[in-house]
Amino acid sequence: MRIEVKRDLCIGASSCVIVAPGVFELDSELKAIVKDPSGADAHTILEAARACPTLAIYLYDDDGKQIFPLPPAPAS
Amino acid sequence: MPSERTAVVVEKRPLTPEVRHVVLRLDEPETFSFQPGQIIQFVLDPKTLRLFSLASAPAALPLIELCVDITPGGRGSQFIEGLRLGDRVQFRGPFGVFTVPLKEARPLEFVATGAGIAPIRGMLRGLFEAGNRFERPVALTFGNRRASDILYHDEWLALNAREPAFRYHATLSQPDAGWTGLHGRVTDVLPSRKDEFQNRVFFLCGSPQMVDDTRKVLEEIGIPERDIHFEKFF
Repeated sequence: MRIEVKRDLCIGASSCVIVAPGVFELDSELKAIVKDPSGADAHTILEAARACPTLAIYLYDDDGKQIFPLPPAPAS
Repeated sequence: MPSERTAVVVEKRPLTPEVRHVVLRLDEPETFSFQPGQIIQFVLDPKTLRLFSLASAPAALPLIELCVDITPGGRGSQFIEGLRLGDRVQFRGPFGVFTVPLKEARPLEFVATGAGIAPIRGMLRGLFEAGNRFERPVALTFGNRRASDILYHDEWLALNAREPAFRYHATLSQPDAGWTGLHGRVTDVLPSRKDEFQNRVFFLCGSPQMVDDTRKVLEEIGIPERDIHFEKFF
């Protein structure tokens, strides 16, 4: 899994750091960075991404396909 | 660097011993727009940021409202407790994706506990001030310990009485004698209404534990993950 933090979206809410402290930390600009992509299991990393209030964390599988955020379902 | 906005504290009152309702008047409302449910961020010092959900809808501008549980006792709580009428504050935002998408026409279920009602109050106000344009069912399941803990209870009762599309389900985990509403946590009462939940979109807000427990219950009764939106108050 590849983890990408969109710096322009990150507001330093720290949700990811709380959920997955082994993976994320805030840098000197209070933006989340990935300190260790293997610092938690895949489920915890996904939960950290889901907890971000701005959806600033993007996750990709090993083939490079975006697995989070999911595109919205078409409204019915 | 995000632009800083300023506002003046024009009202502050306790809703309960632990929760404060704060009203701010924007200095430059013409430069500020937001979607109900979004958050703003106060910069307490260069290394300390705190987020608060907007508990109001755009129709209230130039006023914006916050609903904050000060129980955590941390820097954000101290900041809110320290606010006095007339204080000028700086903030950034709005931010966040915990909003009802404009094109979302399906029935909506809001689920909150405690001060998790804040963004949901903004969304409900936004929906009904806009005339609930799709006329779809909208419900609020609001969990608290005791009746005295229920935030904005009179608003929800009034909305329930006024809007045919809206249903209010208050539930208490430690109900007082005489409580005639629902008993139990939100996770206890939601499954009993599962037949209503076909094609319904959920918005959850509260503690991480409440949100995770509710997601689990909803997934067990077949709600697709993509129809469960949530915000955790850490």
